[in-house]
Amino acid sequence: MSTDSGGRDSDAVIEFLVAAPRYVNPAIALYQELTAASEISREEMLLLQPRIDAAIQEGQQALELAVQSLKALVATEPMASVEVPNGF
Amino acid sequence: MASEAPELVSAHTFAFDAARAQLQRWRVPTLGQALDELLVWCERCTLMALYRQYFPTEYARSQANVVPPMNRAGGYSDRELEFLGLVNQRLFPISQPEDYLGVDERFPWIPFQECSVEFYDEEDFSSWRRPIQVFACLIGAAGDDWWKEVLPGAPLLQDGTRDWELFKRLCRRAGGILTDAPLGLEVASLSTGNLFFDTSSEVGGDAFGWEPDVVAFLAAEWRKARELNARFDRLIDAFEREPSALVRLVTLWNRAIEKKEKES
Repeated sequence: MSTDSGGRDSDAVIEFLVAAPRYVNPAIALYQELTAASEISREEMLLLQPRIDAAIQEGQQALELAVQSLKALVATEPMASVEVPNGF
Repeated sequence: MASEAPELVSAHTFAFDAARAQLQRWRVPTLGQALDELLVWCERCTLMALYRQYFPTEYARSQANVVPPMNRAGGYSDRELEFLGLVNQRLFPISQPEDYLGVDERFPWIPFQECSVEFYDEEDFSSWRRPIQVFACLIGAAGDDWWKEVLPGAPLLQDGTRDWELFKRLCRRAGGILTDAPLGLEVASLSTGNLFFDTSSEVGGDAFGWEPDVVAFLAAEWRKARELNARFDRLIDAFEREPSALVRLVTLWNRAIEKKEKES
């Protein structure tokens, strides 16, 4: 990611976000699946526990990453922009 | 997994409440909310595994839904309620959700019901049977004023630390009703060694989650508690039939003061 100027930085961030693969955390996906379910068979119930365990594990990892990212953002030194924002 | 379709009012119109409830189900949660909900589902799976393990016939026969209805999505499903009822009937006593919780709530741990003897206030104390009142006075759980009313004519209770082993020996030697008298004091002082008798509803006890080992432990403890309870009831009945034995009990209790204290 370029750090030459504020404009290039924001373009690079947007490009990076656009290029990122579409992804729904498995914890949210399974939550929605279970919330929408009106009935679960005995066979499905047997298979559910390992799916829940895996989704919780992945969800907790994502949550930890988000918390770390937030801490890193908060700790970042402020830097003056080279561009004057619109409206000034 | 089957999904529940909102109620159709006509070919093109859904009932508002049903549509709103359905839309709420599809609301995207935060990751934290999703994880909390999955932990509830985790417990739901555990309860069903325990249901299958302890009551396989009932589990196989059950037609109750594992998924709670929309109006109590965060609470217990019908199949879970069935399981909790069976635990209460056949394994150990537990509080039932409908008696303590809203329809959308769950117990955070196994809500086992203790059967300890506790003395909160004078009203409670005076409602206990007389042998239990005597036990309470002996262990110091009741004020001195009570002593004159509980057992008029009995020796005064002497101050001092008791030698418990000596007291048990004295009771054994005395024989008859008094042989099992230490149990009465153990029950009153919450020190029987049994979880159901020693857990105080006021102070609270250990919080147990629905783990297979814990359920087996609680079931075994409750079997022992029932035996203890039968012994305790027999003891109380016997003392009520023969109140003079309570006076002899007090004499033994006074004799069980640790020797060092007596000498000093």
